[in-house]
Amino acid sequence: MNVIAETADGLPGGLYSLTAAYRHRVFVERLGWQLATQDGMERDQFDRPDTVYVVARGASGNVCGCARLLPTTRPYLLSEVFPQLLNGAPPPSSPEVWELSRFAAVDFNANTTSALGQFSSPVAIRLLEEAISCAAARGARRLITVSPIGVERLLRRAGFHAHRAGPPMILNEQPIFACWIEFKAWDGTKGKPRICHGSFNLKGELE
Amino acid sequence: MISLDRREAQGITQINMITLSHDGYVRLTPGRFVQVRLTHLHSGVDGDRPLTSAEGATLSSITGYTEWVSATQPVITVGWDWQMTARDGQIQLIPLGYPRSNLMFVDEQGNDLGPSATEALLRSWIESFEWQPSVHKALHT
Repeated sequence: MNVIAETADGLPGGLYSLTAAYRHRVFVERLGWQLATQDGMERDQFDRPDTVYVVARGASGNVCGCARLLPTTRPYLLSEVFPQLLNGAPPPSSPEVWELSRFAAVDFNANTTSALGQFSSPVAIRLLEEAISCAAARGARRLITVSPIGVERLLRRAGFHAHRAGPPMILNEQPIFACWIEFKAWDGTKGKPRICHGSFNLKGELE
Repeated sequence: MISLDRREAQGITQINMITLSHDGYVRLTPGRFVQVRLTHLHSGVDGDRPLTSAEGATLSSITGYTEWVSATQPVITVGWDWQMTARDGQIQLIPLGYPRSNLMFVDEQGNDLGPSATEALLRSWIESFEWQPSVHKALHT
């Protein structure tokens, strides 16, 4: 598997179109999202010259995964379309925060992969690692993502420090949510962390 | 005993001292958390597979997820995976793995307990919480 991270201009010839067609197959045809499409390709107003694409290709050159990175200093999906996913917080706008969207890791050459089960694959983990590395190289310290909630399992399994930014929203019968992905391991943000082993008693107190 | 000042305002139950931190976490003590009522938002079966088409599969191969939210502002969100199993002749759902949320539990001094401890405590809470009937109902409607 080969993974490349570039703007549309920097991608090898034809790969941008292949990626847009791949996104159509995953998000429109398999997940049923109602997105703007044209000639079998899915693209929107956030596919701009400064958008960074992370694309995974299989041995035969087929696209088997993709993700989209946008700086939050310009309009991005969460700020413009889904600000309600932020639980009342203002959309972030910082060179240290980039948005990850259109994350998919469905290998159409592998018949057993389902659109919702895609997040457990090695491709998904590699794709996420590359996206984080790429965003970090551009100055990011955190990612905010709008994704199906299945991404949480991937983040957990891959050992990332990630947590929800707010409650999921049901879109086309599938829950989507906003999630923070921290590049640094958790080190306590309000004082010294302590190990806590306990359980709730009936009063809701720690034992 | 923790006393809470609840008030009804425009149909939304607000509980004092629940705030959204700059990093997106809702920070509160475990004791305060258990006073917040969570309601069922959504549940589903894994793998693009409606429950009705899973006949013939072994029960333990059927897994899914469930999502719960508070009526507070900011909203508390907790979700976890489950596995279907048979126990004492009854079909039951058991929680699987660790829960996911926007919570960071803190001690009485406001110090973070950390993600691992928060997840462990949420898992303990799930064990004592009657969530299965809501999920069963959601899966069959």
